Amino acid sequence: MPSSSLALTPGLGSFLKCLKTNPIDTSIETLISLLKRRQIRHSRSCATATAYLLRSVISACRTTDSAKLIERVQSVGRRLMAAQPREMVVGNIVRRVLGLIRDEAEDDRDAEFALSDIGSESQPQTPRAYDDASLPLDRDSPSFRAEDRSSRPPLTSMFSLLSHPEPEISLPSTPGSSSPSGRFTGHGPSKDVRAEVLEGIGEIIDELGQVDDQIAAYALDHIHSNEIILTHTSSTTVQKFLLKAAAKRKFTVIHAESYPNNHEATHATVSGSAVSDDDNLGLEAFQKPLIEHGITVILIPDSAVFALMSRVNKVILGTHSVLANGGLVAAAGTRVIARAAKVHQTPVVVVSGVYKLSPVYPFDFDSLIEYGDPSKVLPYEEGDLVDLVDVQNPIYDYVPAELVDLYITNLGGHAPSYLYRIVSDHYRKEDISF
Amino acid sequence: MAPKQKAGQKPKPNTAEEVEETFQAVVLADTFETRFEPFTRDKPRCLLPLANTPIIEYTLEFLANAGVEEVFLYAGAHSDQLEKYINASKWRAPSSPFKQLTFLKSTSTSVGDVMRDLDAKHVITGDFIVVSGDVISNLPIEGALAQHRARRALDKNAIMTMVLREAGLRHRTKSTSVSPVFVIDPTQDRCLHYEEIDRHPHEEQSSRLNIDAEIILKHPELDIRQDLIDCSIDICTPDVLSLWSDSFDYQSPRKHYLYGVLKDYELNGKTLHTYIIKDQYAARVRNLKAYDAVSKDILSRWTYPLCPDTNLLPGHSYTLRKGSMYQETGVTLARSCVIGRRTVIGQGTSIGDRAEVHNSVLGRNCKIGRNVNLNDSYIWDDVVIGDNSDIRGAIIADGVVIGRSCAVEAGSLLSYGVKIADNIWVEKGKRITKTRNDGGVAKNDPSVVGDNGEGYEFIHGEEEEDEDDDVSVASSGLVYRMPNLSLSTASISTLSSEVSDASWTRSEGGSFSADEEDNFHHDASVSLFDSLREGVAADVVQLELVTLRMSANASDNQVRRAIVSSFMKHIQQLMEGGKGAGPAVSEVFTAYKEVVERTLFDRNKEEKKDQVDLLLCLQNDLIHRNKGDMVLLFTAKSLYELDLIEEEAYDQWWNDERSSNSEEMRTVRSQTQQFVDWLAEAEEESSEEESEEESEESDEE
Amino acid sequence: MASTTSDAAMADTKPFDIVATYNELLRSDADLTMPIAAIEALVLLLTHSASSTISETLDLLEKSTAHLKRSIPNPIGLSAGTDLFQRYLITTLQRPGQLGPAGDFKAIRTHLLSNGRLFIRRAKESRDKIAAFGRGFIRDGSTILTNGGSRAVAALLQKAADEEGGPSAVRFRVIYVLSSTSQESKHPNEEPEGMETVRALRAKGVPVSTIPESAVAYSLGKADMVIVGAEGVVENGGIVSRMGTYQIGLLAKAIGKPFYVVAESHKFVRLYPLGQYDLPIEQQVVEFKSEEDLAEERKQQSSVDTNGDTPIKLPLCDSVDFTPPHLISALITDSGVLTPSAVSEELIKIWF
Repeated sequence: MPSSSLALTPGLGSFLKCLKTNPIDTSIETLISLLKRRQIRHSRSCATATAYLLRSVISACRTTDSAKLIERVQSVGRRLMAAQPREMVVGNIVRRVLGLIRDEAEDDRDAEFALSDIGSESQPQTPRAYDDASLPLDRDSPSFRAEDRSSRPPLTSMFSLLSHPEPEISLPSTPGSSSPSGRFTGHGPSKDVRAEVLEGIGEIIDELGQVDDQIAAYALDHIHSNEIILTHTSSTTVQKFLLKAAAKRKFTVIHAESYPNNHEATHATVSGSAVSDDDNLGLEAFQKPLIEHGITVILIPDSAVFALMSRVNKVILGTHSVLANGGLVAAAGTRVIARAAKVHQTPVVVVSGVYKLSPVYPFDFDSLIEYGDPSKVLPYEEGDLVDLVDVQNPIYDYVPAELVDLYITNLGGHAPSYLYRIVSDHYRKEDISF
Repeated sequence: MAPKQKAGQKPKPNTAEEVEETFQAVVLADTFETRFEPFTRDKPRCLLPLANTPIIEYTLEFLANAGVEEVFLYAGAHSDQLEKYINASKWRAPSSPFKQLTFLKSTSTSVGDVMRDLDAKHVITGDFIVVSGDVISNLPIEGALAQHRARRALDKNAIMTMVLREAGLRHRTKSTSVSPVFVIDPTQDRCLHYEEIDRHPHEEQSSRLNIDAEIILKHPELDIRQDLIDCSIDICTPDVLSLWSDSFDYQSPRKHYLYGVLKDYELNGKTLHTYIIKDQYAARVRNLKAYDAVSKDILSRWTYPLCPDTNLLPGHSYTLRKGSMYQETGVTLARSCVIGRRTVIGQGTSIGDRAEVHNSVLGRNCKIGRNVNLNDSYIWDDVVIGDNSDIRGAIIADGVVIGRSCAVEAGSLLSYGVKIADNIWVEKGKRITKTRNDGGVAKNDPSVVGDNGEGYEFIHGEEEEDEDDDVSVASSGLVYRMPNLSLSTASISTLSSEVSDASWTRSEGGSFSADEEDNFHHDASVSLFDSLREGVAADVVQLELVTLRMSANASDNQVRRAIVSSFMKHIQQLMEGGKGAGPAVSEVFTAYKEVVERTLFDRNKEEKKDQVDLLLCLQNDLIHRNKGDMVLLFTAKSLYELDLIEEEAYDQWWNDERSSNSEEMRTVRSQTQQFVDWLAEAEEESSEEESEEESEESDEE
Repeated sequence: MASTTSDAAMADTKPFDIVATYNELLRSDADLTMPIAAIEALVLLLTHSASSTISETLDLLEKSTAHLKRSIPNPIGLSAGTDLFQRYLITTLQRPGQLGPAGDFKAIRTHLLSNGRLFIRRAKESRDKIAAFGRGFIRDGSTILTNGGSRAVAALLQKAADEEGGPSAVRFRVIYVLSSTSQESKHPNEEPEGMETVRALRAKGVPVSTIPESAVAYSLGKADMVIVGAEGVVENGGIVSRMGTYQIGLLAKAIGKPFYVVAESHKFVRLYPLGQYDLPIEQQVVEFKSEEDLAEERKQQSSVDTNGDTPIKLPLCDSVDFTPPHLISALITDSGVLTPSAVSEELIKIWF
């Protein structure tokens, strides 16, 4: 990644630099403390850092045994996730890498199987190999891929009740421990596991870089001429989405300023003075703000959202992460907007990269919300008040699935109730809670 | 890492020059104060837990946040403990953000010594930050640093930038009793004058500020600000160190150094600057009141991200629940207990039925019984609190055991390992400890801790003169968290008896202001005491004393008082360490005979005014000390044997009405009666003719 | 009755009674669920039959299943088991791979026959698995409203109660809705279903309040969430479970409390009910009667005894209702926490 902005305060840039020079264990610790200190924050930075770190972890791992690789990635992943549990993308990336390793390991085994058993068709092997290679960058419709998956030999949980004991234990959970892979470790094909996985991670990293543009490609399907769009925060994804549509169509954007955590960035975005900071590493700063494309942008305080909602045709929101149940965790104030939209029957569209989609079911919504620095709400120098008043500044909101009408990811548009399907396409069941 | 890149983002002029610089920081782990007594008898202050994380962690975290690469950690008291801690911590691990972490043990007795030592070591290569080991801040230093650098690029004489936090007039995190006043030229962010105003509520005279007329004339715009929290984060150039070295009498970084350098601007031409922050957190845990305030700030997340649920220490597992409740995994809560807002509960702690916890921090492995009420308290690790006890506003250190149905009132401090028996009422502001000054274990005092208890009351007088006048009041345990100032007045009059009761010194000493007197007394006795403890040679001690005396323009009487209080404190310590009173006294006085001798100028005079004064000082000091009467006897004997005080002086002292004008004075000198008698007899034998009047006098006794 | 299963009668000297076996299995093990009992019964049936060809076996299975379903008043639960068994057999026979070369019927047969107990054990284990998944739902300080006698719910609650000193010991309370219909049924002295769980929870120190069904709306304001069990999970993600669950679901939705369903994945049944009255069972819940009808009924009762052909009516205390998927926040199953729409996916996977 290009080291575009170099800050004194450690951040993503310095981490990526340190990754190149330092031993892997140091890098792991560095990332953990960076996450803890919130020096790497926001989904994309976290995802990028995790992906790069795991790439180094795997390339530093001298073993070719996929079971050991999985173990290693799991242990690193657990520590990263514990460092900042509310950055769910960290876990997402770890799980995807685990899935990559498992897929490769199984491919190997299938290949061996096919060789040993000429009579059986080698059907499972080919489509899946394609599947893996295309997974991160797949622009095809997800339904196609889903079909692909379901054509596997059924390993569904419903049959696990009746299945033969041995295959049940060995197949899904710990590849490598069972006899077939044990026999073939060290063979030619399994040698490639690491290389394949590294390639896969490379694709994840590419995906992270391109995701906004991919999402923006759907913009014209959703934004029509003369519409009034309401949005919130300075989300890069949303801005790119709107910019793409602005190239062809004329519409109006109402921008809620998202005080107090993001209003400065939002103002900067609206006025086009946004500087590419650490978070948007590798992305060129917005070339031009919407206003320069002739789009009318109206900046409003958050409190005016409800009043203006009746005039709005569509609400487009960015998000911090998306949960398996279709709900999402996004910047504080999102829920109010979504709720207001519901009251006015205004469609709510959430744009989000697939990498933000977490397979974890949110048991405890409260625990997902990060509470930030209250001084943004009440200046610390208000000594009397500080002593008497509890000030809270939640950074995120939980928005339940029923308030969202459509998700647009880099794979296309999905209904919230359909997200489980994308989850099962991207994450292996055995990795969900590792 | 980052610091190398910092040049890149800055304007060109100094790029080349700074590329090679590593960003260094000096952490003053010991601030040479005893404000955290009695806890600091067992542990260095920077290892005391603040919201269950040692204070030093926050400071190092701040430095890591700022992108510091090299850290020099100066330890003072209990340096072995600190070293052990640091060596085991993540900061020593290969993944530490610091490329180098140098642990320096110093024998210094003040910040000034540390700085001079640092200068002598020639380790500082470029701009560096000086922070004390109790700074909590989430400030990214970039802004201040960039400003500092830019300024320095223009003017080599801009040597220091102080980071100050704006905090309004009244604020819990600010010191209530003393407030630093900065006179700043806002156009250049330059600090022109610094003074600490005493805000002792009991002092009638209004606080005054002496600003040089020239300052007012020269600068068209001036800010005189009292609303700043001095977080003692200084960005310095190496020149700062040489200035420290030039003025060897500077002790404290603000009161002496800042004040002095500003005053001598004409002389050295150096300018000091300020960087006032408005939207980040920065504060110092300078005393127990600040401890309370900063703890609250941490729980309310003003210090974000340095909050418990960030889990700074590797083993921690705090999670945040609604209402600023932080809990680690593995907490056992009875079904009927109530955990209120702003609480922190560590691993392994169990809380009994119907117990209530509000606004409190509980460490790990504590056992809180049934029906216990915990309010506004700080409870460290492994504490056991019996059923039905009620604790409010106290700090309870590791391993304390509190019996059933006890009441611990606001401002109480229970130090390490104290055991309180059942049904004991610990009064407001009581400090109970087990450890003596020298680390030994003292006798238990059943009247304080109950029959089966362990610990004795920590007597305030023992260290009161060490305290910076300002903070001692607020920190004197009692009122460390009381917003009510009238209470603090009460504490002063009762506890800081020596300074305020000692009106007799003032009558003699003249018209210097109480402030200066106290300052000198404090500085001198602290430095003397430290020297004694370290066993510094007598001539060095003497030199130091003289310097101090000159700089403060102190009277002889003050010098004597300082000597007496430090000597007696030291002797007391030796005795606690198991020495007998006699040997302890003679050891100290023999070694430092010269120091005492230099304060007595009446050897050849008829009226032995100085010697009497010394004895009176002694007597007065010993009133508050353990076995004061015995010590007085041995001291008297020792002084006589060393030829420091002549027989006549003893007589004059014994007959001086000041030495017997109160019950306490009489009690303390009762033991010495035998010595005075003996003196009288000895005289009779040796010189019959002179003895007449004296024997009469001694008979009168 | 055994005479209807002619194949079985031919194969075995002593006729194998699948219905009796099924009922016996359910009686003997209180922890056994209906689908598992059905699977067990089918396994036993295979043991008793000597059929060796695939089609013969499948035929036998189909017939026995049909008979079993006919003879049990509420066959929804058991049909999940029989369907699963059948599908498993067919899929394994069709797809080569896991159990040796294609079409090795013998191997599959021996696998099934020898592992009867294993299935039961796994089924019980799946409850523990669910409890582990569902553990996260029960948070410190929460109040849970539940009903019925679901073993999965009981396991989940007890697991949470056992969590002493775990990741922050959970303190929760339970509001247990006790059905009043069971009391007025044939055994007036029998305690309502769920009392056992209530006792077990109380023994573990969990405060439990028991309320009648009529107090649900009143009490729901004090609850943080509703957790219920299910007899069967249907294709659209809705559930079939004991009478009264639907109204709790409606109330929870109205008040805005999350409504969770705990069910083992072997309870997924291929059924797509369109509403309450679209279930393949006969229930006498809503019965309109005039005095005339009652008199006639009394007369009939004295004269006629039921013969096998008339559909067996479900007593009121065992009646069920259907909770549509939009009322359900999530299903906690042994394959994870699923949204209702994910259920059809699981079913599709085994049927197609």
